[in-house]
Amino acid sequence: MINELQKDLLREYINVFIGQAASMLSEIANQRVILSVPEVEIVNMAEEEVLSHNLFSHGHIVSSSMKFGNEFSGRAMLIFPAKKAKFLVDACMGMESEEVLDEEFHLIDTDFDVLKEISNVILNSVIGEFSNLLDTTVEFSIPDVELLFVSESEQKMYLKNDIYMLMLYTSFQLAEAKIDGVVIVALGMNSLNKLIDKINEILGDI
Amino acid sequence: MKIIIADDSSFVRTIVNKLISTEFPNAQIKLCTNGKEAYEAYIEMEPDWLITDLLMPEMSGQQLLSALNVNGKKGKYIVVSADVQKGTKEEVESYGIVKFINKPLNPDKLQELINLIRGE
Repeated sequence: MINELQKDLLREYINVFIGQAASMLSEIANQRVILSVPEVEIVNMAEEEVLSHNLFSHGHIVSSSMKFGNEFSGRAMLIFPAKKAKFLVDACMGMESEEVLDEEFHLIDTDFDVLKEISNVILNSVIGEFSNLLDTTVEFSIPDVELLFVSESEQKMYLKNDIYMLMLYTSFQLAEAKIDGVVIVALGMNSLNKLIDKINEILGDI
Repeated sequence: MKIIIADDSSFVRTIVNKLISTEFPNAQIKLCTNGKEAYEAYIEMEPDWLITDLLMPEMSGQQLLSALNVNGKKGKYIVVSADVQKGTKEEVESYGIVKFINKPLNPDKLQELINLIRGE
């Protein structure tokens, strides 16, 4: 779908966008946030491709998603393992996290509210910068935050309505808890082509 | 002094409300969870300041500012939003806002908010 040079430039931009999002996360959680270099993949969900690794962790997850639209449209998702999401909420609220047994684990309304605000800031930062890169303005939907149980075999089904996925794998590391999150941007063919055209335009100028 | 704080996140409303209540103990503060509530409160209260998010259910911050503009209201508005798009900033600036502050709110940005309300 894209060659190594295009992928390299795309990774460079995403690095900057995710870096800004991490800086915002650091401000919210009041802790240093260390990010791994994002891995970028474009996945065609219609094909039975073998992915280089699992789409995201299976089991209980917290998934926040925001639709965005206009000339550049799609869906952006931020997915955390549920227990790690709770660590993140506690860090943002300035509270100590406690170990909780699986059967006792639950999230309350305040947790969902904080997670909604975190995803609002992070996904706005990433998609907003894509939109700036493409010289357009997108409109966002309100983030939808869900606590889900997704088995390994159900991962693809969860994403089945989206055709092309721009997968951004990131690992957020806060001072106290290693929080593995993944940002997924699902794009239709037109939007993906717009992004690739822009990448080609920039490469042509170099 | 009368202030409206409009944000669908109770997390953000709590932070801003707590700070303003501490800095301006005599302020009359109205908390709203969407643009529609804020619009109705604005018409009723005629506040000195409106602090609003953009991405909210029922009525967005842009729709709120536009509706106030159409009604000839020329208040002091501060936008606090996670939206980093240039186009969005230009759009809301056209409504004569005093300041666009990007989320997340850190101590410096909260201080800036207080200074603006103090007129500094």
